[in-house]
Amino acid sequence: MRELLIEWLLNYLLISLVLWQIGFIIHLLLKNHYGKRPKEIYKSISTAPTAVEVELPNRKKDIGVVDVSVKKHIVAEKPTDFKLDSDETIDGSVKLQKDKLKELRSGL
Amino acid sequence: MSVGLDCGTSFYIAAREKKIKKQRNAFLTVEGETSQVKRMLARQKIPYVEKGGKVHIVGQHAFNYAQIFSTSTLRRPMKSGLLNPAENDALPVLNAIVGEILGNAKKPTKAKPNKEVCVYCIPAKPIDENREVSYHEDVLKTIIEQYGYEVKVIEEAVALGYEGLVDSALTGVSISMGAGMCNVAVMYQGMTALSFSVARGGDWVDQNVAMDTGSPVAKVTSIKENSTSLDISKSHIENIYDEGSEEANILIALRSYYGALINYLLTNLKVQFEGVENVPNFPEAVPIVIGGGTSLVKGFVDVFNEQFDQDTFPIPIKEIVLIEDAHTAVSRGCLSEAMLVEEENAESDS
Repeated sequence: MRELLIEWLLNYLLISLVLWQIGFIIHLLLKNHYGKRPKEIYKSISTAPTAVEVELPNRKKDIGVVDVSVKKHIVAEKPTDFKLDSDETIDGSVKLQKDKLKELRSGL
Repeated sequence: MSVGLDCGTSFYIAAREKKIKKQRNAFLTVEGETSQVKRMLARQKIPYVEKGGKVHIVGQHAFNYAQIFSTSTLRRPMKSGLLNPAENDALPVLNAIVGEILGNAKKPTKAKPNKEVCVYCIPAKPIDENREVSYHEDVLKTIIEQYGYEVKVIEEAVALGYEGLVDSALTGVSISMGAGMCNVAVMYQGMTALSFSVARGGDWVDQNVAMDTGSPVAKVTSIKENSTSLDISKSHIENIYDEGSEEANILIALRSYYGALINYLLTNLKVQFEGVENVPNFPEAVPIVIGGGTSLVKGFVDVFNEQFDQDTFPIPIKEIVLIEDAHTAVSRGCLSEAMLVEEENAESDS
């Protein structure tokens, strides 16, 4: 009777040890192959979207210079009265290169 | 009857086919009751301009007075080649000067339906002063148009090139040495490859000499223009002047500052030429032609040659020439251009 009890106890220990080993192996397998998946899913969900540039209130768009024609109001003041004589007057034909200049322009 | 107008800092010069008129571009304000001052000046045949209750003596007379009465300030409508921004009374004086030397244009007739053409000159943009030329250009155009002309504009150094570079097929370097500025154009077959101005000229020389010698600027200018003994090519060792006299000091200082001015000009010409893209190659040596009132002083070309160094200069230079009648050369270049414009106008009408 005593021997039967010892054998039953040993079998019980052996079987529970095997079961623990199987459980541990299953735990390791699950940890290695399935354990990270939930983390990866979390990561991909939590990735921040890339920044979108928005126009700041004080910053103007760089659109370059637009040239506009200016209506000029040049006022060349006239004298009330004047009496002038040229400081120097040279009379006589003035020597010019006009004809050579004309020839060059027609030839160029 | 076309006309060419050189609008210089020191002189306004108008050239026509048979006449050249010069007017010194300076004035001096006379204190006193307007009508009384005008009567007095008219009696003595002194030219004047009246504006806003002020009477100004204009031209050579003003210049002479400033030399005699050192307390009176000679005023200048232009400074450094452009309208003088500090001079409030400049425009009526300039208006009167232009009116006197140009006169009113002849009114178009059936035989000659086109207006008389006036070509005036403006400086190129200065490289050593932050100023634009366009306002100066517009004001002068407005003044000349008031006298009934069709107005065209060209650059000062280009106008000089039209007189001095025709024998080299409008290829070379033209330098107009004025009172307020020196203008430079590098031309290749009539095209301007490079043009610029420096805001230094005869006035810069005079002011520095006046500061160094303690003499009034007007006196320095007068000695520079009229001294028979001034030759800037003479070295200090061969000094022929009476040592210690005021005139001798001025003459010696003039020689130094002329050398400095030419050196400044040539150095900047070299730098500008090397800094500009698409400048043409000059396979053959070209001339440098010089004109303008500041180049009139005796020995100028010798000093220019002393300062010039072909080894460092970017263009091969054949010769350095002072143009004939250097003072009126720019106005003659303007006149040639004006005559050609008038001919073109007449051809397009017929």
